[in-house]
Amino acid sequence: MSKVGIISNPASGKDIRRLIAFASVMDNVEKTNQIKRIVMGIDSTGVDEILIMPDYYCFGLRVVSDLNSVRLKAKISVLDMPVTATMEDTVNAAKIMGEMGVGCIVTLGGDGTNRAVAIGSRKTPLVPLSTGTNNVFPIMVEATVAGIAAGITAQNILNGDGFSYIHKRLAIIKDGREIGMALIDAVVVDQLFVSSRAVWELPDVRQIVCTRADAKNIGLTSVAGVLHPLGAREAKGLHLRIGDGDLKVRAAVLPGLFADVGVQELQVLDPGDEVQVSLKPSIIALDGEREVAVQPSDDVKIRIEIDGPPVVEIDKVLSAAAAKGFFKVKN
Amino acid sequence: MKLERDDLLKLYRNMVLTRKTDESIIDGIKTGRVVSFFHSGQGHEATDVGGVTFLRKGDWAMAGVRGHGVGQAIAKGLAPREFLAEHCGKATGCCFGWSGFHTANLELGLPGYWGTVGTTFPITLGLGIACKKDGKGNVVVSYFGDGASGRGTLHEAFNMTSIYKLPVVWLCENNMLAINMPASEAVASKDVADLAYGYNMPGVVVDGQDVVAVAEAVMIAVERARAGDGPSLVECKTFRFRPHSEGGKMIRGYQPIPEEEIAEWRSKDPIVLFRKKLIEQGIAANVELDKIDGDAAAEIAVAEKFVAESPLADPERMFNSLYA
Amino acid sequence: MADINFARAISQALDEEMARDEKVYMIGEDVRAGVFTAQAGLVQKYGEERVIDTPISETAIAGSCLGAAIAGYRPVADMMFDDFMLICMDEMKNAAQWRFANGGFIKVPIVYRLPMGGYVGLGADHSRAMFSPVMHLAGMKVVVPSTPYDAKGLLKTAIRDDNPVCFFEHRLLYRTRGPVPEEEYLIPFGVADVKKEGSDLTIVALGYMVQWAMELAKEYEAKGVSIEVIDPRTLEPLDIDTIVKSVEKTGRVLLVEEDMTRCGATAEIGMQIMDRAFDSLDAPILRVGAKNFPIAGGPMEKLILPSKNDIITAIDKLLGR
Ligand SMILES: Cc1ncc(C[n+]2csc(CCOP(=O)(O)OP(=O)(O)O)c2C)c(N)n1
Repeated sequence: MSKVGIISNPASGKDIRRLIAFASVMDNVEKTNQIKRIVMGIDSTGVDEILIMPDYYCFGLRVVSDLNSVRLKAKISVLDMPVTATMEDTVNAAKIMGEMGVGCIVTLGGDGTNRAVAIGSRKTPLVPLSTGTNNVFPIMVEATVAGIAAGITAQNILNGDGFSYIHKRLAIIKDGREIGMALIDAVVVDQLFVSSRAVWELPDVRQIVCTRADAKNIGLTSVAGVLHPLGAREAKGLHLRIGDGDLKVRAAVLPGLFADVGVQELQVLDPGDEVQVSLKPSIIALDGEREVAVQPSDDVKIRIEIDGPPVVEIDKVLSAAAAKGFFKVKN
Repeated sequence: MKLERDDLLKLYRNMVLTRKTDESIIDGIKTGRVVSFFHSGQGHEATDVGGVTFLRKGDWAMAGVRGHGVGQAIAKGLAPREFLAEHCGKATGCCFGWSGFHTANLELGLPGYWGTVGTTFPITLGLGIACKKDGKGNVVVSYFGDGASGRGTLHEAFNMTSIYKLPVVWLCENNMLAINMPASEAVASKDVADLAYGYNMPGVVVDGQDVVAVAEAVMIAVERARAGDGPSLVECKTFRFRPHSEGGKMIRGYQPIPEEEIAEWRSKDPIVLFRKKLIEQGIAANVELDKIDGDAAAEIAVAEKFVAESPLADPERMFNSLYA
Repeated sequence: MADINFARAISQALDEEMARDEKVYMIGEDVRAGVFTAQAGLVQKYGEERVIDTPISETAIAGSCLGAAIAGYRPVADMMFDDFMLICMDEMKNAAQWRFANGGFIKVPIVYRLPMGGYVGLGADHSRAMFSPVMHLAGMKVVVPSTPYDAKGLLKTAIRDDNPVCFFEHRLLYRTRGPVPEEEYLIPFGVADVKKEGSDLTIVALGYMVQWAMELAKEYEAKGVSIEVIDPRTLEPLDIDTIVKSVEKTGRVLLVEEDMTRCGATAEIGMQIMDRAFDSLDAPILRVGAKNFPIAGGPMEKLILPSKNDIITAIDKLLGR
């Protein structure tokens, strides 16, 4: 039985970045549409079962009822689990899907949504679909195509490796215990509360630890990206100390919002390296959202590891499947 | 806006004072001191206080129906005793004691209260027009519930505040219930914030149990409004800890809400959560916060005595106030 | 005959009519749970398709009734407070006039249930008695019951009427009890009820005020004064004949309502008495009603709403005592 899971976060794309800057808006109607396209894509590949995470907006129920008249080959259902309308739902759904042995999860959301998925499951390959411009981890690609790639992955149609890679990960270690993680960046800010989550006041930023750095991305990793580009597959990480100094870069820290950021130090990290959080009390933002409160007495470190979730390489999957004749229809 | 220690303690104090005032009214209902009904705002303190505490003089805080605007009034500087006195029918109330439960004070930017849900939308529009005409950079923060979003007046006022680029922050307190009607059955878009984009304004969702989150989001929207960038919509997800109206039951649709679920909501008490954070982050010590609690309790005790000793509303004044 | 309360009488009427005619449905805010408990149990019996719970959308509730009625349904809308009907006055006016203004062949069977009234301390936003605004909508029938028996019989008639009807239910009446027959009955519109016969003075009272009139009539009976109490029950159509007949007998009339007297229902009734029975009057017509003020909240409302004392003073004045 081949299975694909779909996790879509109805709350993604509604945080205050739409007030501070010009972050994109994707409403839940369009997300519902996208899920339908993902389902059609998956179904076209012959997968047996499609499972959708339940949520307060009821993507799953809407999709199932809207596709009622379409004859799907796959069985489609909404996971049976409680809905708390918090990030826990995503964590939980990924965990359950992992345990049910889904061969691939398509995620619809930003870096934060994918982080929650990775907390729940780090084994299942992900096809992360972006719902906005403000993200690094998910990819901008047509949902139908993402569905096809997920379907092919889940059925193990392609022999051999090389169609996905293990993403890097930042573990937040407090007093020797892991208390959180990030997929893209962990940023130490001089603030006291998680509150509205977004990070936009650059004078507050003290340290940036990241797994990837690319000038074409938006967000704090772009500060590193303009100085020292680092690819998703390179077994390295970066640590930047932010503050007044000789070196200053102009970076797009939010969509349409620029800041001049002083970089005091840039350090390249190897897997297993740990960065000490020097400012206390402070807040660590994980993948763009203030998440962890560091208290005066805490000893907190950020460690880079290569043990995140596998990420499906959509282009490679599709071209290999085509080369194999997967899309040819037999008469 | 960066919140300093004093600001944070002010938020805490305003929330505590709001809660204690609310509790005093409920006690007054039980003992017969309160002359009308009450729609307790317990659970909403973070949104009521967070969206108003850092407004400046000249800004308007338009409350919705919940709590009869107690949190907004206190955050705007109304003395709790005036709120209590009004609810007890005393001449020392903020509306001189004959309104039953209304709150108004033009000096403080409290334009008045009205129990008809959704009347506040066009009134806010008017306040917004006035602020823009005045040209002093003043804004209106206007509260409404998930239930109120069903009113047609929302459409007219959202549209017009947007086309006129008025300095208005629409603040939805989504507590998932309108009397007994669940928002899940009454709000087609589920998130009220989603409505904003149809009116060409930004709409965001914040945790309404987190007073700093509310204050941050609203103050950004306020700055936008002051700068002439027009209205925005901030939706705060919150919980109503008590029945719609005192003496009522906790019902959703037509079934009782399970006790465990109510307990789960109450575990997200915005005051308790904020207190914990203040202590954990080393901003205030237990004793300091205890003192704020104690001062608030003392203020309410004094206020209750003041109200008890106050004269009843003055009929002559009432009959002379129909026309200006 | 069983003694039941007013609220129960209303829900029995709704129940019986919904069972009788599947075109009847209820719509309004919180109608499943029932804010004033007048309809408990109906959703369980008839389902959510016929007990339609709505968002807070009075305009849509009132206006949709017109649409559904044109298309052959018989909606019963619960407006929760008659104060809120002002939100949808245009829709209600349209419902009243639709038939006439579109050639006179369209039926518009709607009941707008209007819980109403003061003496609960709910302030200016929730306390009005607003008979006269809807009496002013030509094409609208207006019903103001005062007993469980009348409430049930009149509501059933209202639901079967092919015209829009405003049905006022005073909140303080919900708990009052009275005999209601087990077997089915209807009360026709336009037939006033002489609640008590008398010869010295006529009191025409509306809704909750009928209770006070009855209590006072009994008190005066003991003092040797014979008061006739008339409850018009419907203001449109109005049974002026019964009132005139009574005035011809007693020569003195007091009109009592909870609404403001200015342009109130009693202003209309009083003028009609002048037209028809001026020669029978031994004293000027007197009215008791609310002062021409918004209703205050809490106990101060008593200074604005009519009181029993106001009625006593008026009776004594009429009797020259
Ligand atoms: C126009 C109008 N319709 C109905 C009511 C009765 N009513 C009072 S509060 C309320 C619910 C309001 O819900 P919401 O806006 O979500 O605010 P909440 O009470 O949950 O804070 C209703 C239906 C009213 N006051 N006004």
